[in-house]
Amino acid sequence: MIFWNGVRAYMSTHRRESSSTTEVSSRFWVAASSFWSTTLMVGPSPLEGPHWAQLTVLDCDGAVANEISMTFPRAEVGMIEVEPLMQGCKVQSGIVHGQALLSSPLGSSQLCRYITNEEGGFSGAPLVIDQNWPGFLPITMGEQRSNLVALCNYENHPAEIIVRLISGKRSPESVVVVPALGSRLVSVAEEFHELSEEAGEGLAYLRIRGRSEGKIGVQLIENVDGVSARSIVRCIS
Amino acid sequence: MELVRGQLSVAFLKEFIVIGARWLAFILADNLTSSLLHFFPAAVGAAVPYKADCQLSVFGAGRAKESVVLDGARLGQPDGIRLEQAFPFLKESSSGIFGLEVLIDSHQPRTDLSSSLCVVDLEQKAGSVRFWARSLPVKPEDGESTLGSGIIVKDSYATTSLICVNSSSQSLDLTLPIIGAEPLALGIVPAGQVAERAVPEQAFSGARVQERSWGLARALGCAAPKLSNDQSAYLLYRNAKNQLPLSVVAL
Repeated sequence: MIFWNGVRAYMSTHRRESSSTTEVSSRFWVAASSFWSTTLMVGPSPLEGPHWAQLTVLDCDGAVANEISMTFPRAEVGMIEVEPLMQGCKVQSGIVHGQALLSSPLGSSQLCRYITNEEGGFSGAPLVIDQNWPGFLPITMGEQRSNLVALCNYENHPAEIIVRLISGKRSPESVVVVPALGSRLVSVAEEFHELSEEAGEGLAYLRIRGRSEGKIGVQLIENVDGVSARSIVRCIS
Repeated sequence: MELVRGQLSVAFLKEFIVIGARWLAFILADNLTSSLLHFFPAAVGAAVPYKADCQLSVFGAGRAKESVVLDGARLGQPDGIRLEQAFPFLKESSSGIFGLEVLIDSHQPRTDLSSSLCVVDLEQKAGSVRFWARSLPVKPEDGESTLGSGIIVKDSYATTSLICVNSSSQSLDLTLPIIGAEPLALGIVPAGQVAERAVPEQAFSGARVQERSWGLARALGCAAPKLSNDQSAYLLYRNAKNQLPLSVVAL
């Protein structure tokens, strides 16, 4: 029982997908490209029982690309590389991406790992927002930064999402439509072209909320160009 | 308002209660890192940007808790602050890990701020490490202690440490339960202090080496240490090559 409370507390801390009494279910934004790969990690549960995971990968338009079930040795962390499961997925904004629905036993932990040429960072499931529960993302504007926002629609109907960029006294907004169970990658610089140029370097915020009913997952992906043509990619974890 | 005995408590609470929001996190202040706090005071159904109170407290590295109250926060309006501005001693810190407690409250009756959000930003030259802070009951005595779980990793990209933030008045004998293995004893975290404890190499001796497309990896499942509502724990993943922070996940 204590772990059920723990899972609930963890999920509510991050406003992520909730759990049933027998399993933990989360949705992750996943992507595959020549410079980016995604691995989902499933930590074992301290509760008795087999260590398993079920994964459904949806492409950016919400079509099922793959479904798998796996069992892992007891007490071992399961690692699922998503790229082979995204063959045939559509490209949007120049990248193959979508969402992964991951279920595992109650008390297990789930983590997403993004591997680039330079780093291997970690992230939990995206922040979950809806009409009544807006979310926010802090972003750093600048020539060396590019900010992408992944919007995942958790519902079986299209979602209208209001994205507002708040920078100084200006706060333009944009409405993004995401197909049922689909995902969209929004470039802040392109979506708010005028303000991005004016704002120059500095901090800004995105305030995001659903205009239509239903849950939406929100994840920020920040790309920083470094020296020697190296770049790193970071998410809010 | 007419108050009826027997119905008083519920009616009164529904009319006037304000549910605040509280987080307990950590920040870094050293030659390579400065920390920022981003917060989003939010209340379900509140369309008007009512005033919100945001109190920040920093403690640890041998210092007693210091608090400031930020002026100008409003419901529905994200905001942030470079913590060196609020706590100038952080500028002088050459190597320090500090605890950060954030409390958001409102004078507006019937306001539930539990949907508010809080992000800690460890800013480095090479890029920021941002994480969602661990939310806790507003009053430490409220609610029960809860446990989460996490994943410890050691490979060519990352190593893992446990960060324990102890805001309580009791010292904490820190033990990290490893699933399928003996718990790790990680020492004492004094009252009002923050500690980073690297997961030792020998902890991975029982973990199978997994061959992945990016190389060999070892990983362990862990449960959160047993904590009170004045304590929190995070897994800090560091870059295996330069030991700079890579990602932080709340337990």
